[in-house]
Amino acid sequence: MSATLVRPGRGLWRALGDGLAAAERLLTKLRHDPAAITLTLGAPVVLVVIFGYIFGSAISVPGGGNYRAYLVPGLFVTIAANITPSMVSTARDSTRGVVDRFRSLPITRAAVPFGQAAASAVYGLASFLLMALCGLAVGWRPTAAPGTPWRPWPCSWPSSSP
Amino acid sequence: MIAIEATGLGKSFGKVTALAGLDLNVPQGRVCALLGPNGAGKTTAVRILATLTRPDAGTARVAGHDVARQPRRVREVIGLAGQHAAVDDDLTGRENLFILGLMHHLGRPSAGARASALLEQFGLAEAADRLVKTWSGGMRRRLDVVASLIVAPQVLFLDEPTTGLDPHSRAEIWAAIRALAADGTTILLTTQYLDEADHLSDQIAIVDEGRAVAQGSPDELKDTLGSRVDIVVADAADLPAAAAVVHRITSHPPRTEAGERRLIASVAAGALTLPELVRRLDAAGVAAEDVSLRRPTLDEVFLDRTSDPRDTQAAA
Repeated sequence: MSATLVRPGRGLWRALGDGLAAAERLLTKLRHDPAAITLTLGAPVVLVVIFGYIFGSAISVPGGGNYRAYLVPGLFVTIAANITPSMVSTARDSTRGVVDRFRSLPITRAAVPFGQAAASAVYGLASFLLMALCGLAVGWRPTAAPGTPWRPWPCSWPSSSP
Repeated sequence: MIAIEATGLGKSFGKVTALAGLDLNVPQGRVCALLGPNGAGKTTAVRILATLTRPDAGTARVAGHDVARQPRRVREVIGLAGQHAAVDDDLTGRENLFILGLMHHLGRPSAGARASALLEQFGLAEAADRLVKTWSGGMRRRLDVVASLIVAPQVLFLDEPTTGLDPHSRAEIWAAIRALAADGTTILLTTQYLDEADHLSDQIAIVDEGRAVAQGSPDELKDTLGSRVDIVVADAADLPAAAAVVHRITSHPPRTEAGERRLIASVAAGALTLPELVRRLDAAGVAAEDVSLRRPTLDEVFLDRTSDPRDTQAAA
């Protein structure tokens, strides 16, 4: 079998392939679950609209400026903190014997967590992208250009004000 | 060739000793059943042999590879179906097998072809594109067994493959196991069902308290207990006389209960024939309603060789 003929350098590709297979598993699962897709992609949009319009019109930013310039980056962070399905699904897999099955396969140990991370990254990026588009639509304009020196909190937040 | 070879396997979890020197030898192409009460160490043994758990003591080789030192080699030649149906409910049957095919490095086209072939072979083709959560328990279990066959394993581990299934589904799993065995796959299965071990396996290892307390073919194990004498007397008052007759043949006194009319004893195989027993009872003036001399069932072997788990727990 080809599996026993691992040449140096092929190990990394195999590991990557194993990881992508694990990621494909999770993304295929998501595809069968339209409710989860709606929730993952819809929640940020709803948040931008609710906060941007309903509360946004009632809140004045101290010292002037556009409330949405604070809102959208804030929501980015909130959404990033909420990409928890990976933890939940890992826990569910390990109680149901799925992890044992994977561990008895000739795959790289890191493949399963890598797959979780890759799958999370894919739907995380998709929801960020949608939210950014939504933010742009309601009037958010990022002002920090690529290459802007990073300044530690709290000095960094004024950079996003217009 | 020996496909599974374990010597002195030991494993404890904290204060609990799961395995205390288990020895096991399964020649290639045989079906071996690990039979034992709950907590006997069956699952731990399978987990060690399938490289999921490292043993504290002893060595084990599967298809010639050491499970502790060459786990990856072992994983390339084994299939495992654990106690839980480890299939994804949120995927279709086909997708489940396809993903596992990718993880076995088959490549996308062959992974797809292999999934279709297996689904067809095990009668799951019709439901293949439905989500597994809509399948029956028996079909899910079958898919789980099938999932361990992606690359035709040399050695297959099945941990309680039919627990909780209805008789029809059990028969389906049994048929699948027999088909695999006929193809020359070495199979190690654990079970609590004695009839399952009796029907499926060439070899049984009775495991109790982390050790193999008896090993052999179902027939050999039954022979170790000798024959069973079962006498029902017409009048309970005759029971001591019947017991005396049997006691003269066997070394230890037979089991009787006061007020009952039945007597059960074991005698060495070939020590006694039925007509002779009847003659002796008659000579002693015992009016027997029913006399039988039979081989022990596997249940009796099992009960004879294993301790009651409730007693051990009480002692611990």
